[in-house]
Amino acid sequence: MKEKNNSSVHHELEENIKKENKKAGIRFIVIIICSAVLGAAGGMLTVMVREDLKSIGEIFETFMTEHMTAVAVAVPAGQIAIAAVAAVWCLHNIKSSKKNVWKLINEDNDEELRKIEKKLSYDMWLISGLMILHFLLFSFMLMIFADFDYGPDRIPRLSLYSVLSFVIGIGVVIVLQQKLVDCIKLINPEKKGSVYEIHFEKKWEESSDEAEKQINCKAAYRTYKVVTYLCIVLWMVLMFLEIATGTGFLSIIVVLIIWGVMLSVYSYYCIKYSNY
Amino acid sequence: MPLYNHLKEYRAKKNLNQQQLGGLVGASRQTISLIERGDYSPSIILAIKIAKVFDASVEDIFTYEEEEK
Repeated sequence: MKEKNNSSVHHELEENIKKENKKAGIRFIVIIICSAVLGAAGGMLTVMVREDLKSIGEIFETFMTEHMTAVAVAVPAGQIAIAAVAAVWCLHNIKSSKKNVWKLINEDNDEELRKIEKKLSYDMWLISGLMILHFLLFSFMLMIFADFDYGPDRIPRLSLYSVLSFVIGIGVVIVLQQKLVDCIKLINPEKKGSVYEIHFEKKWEESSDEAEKQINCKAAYRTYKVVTYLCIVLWMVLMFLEIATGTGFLSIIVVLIIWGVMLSVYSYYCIKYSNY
Repeated sequence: MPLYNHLKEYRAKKNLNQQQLGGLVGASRQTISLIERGDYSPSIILAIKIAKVFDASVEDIFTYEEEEK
């Protein structure tokens, strides 16, 4: 009797799985057909605008040839200017946050403390973004020095200027990160770690409590999903660009490596933490 | 979230601010704030630690109510 019941439950489960697959399968086929149509349209459009895209590249090259010196001076100067603005903004926020923090903690003013923590988190986000911008601009400078004829006399001077602005920019980012971390540690004394330490992130994570770890996990999973979609979109865009303007296969490989590594690391840790 | 709590009232009775309570139970001020607002359900261990601070039972501080379907 018990065996018969088990068998009917098993049969019901299988039926439910089949039903669910059938329902989702129709939607999946529609999505695949739509994607194929969109892909074909994108491919045709790319071939149609191939010449226009090439002319954009030519416009860039003409601009760079005509304004070589201006670009070589303006980009590093811009890096320093951005770093200065970020420093003023963040230091002002840190100073105003520090001013009232103890009073607010003693008064148990949760609302104001949350506002301060939110402001500091946004500043940390801004500073991290700024770091990526500095890397981008520095690579851009190296690229134009390699691609355009600045002359052997000017290259060392301009390169030094670029390297210096990059070092200043990154230096400002690191100092601001440390100042923000110090301010966060004032509000959360249990937090450990200094940005100057090699194992800062590990120490910071270890000093986080269960709720903070859960927030990190949720944010990390969202990041995983967003980056997965981004990789698919980038793969498509780069493929079309390669067909249209010959941007090269390397960029496609780089995107696929990022996707593959992320997927593998995610799968590995899911298996590891499941303790099978 | 169907987990309600009287943490703020208990804290007020003991004259503890969020940071002090966090220090006593090994949690951050932010976590205590999240629990009080009902935005985070603490683990059993943390709930027991909190209850111990107030010499109360977990059920005195936290109440679970089934969500209506």
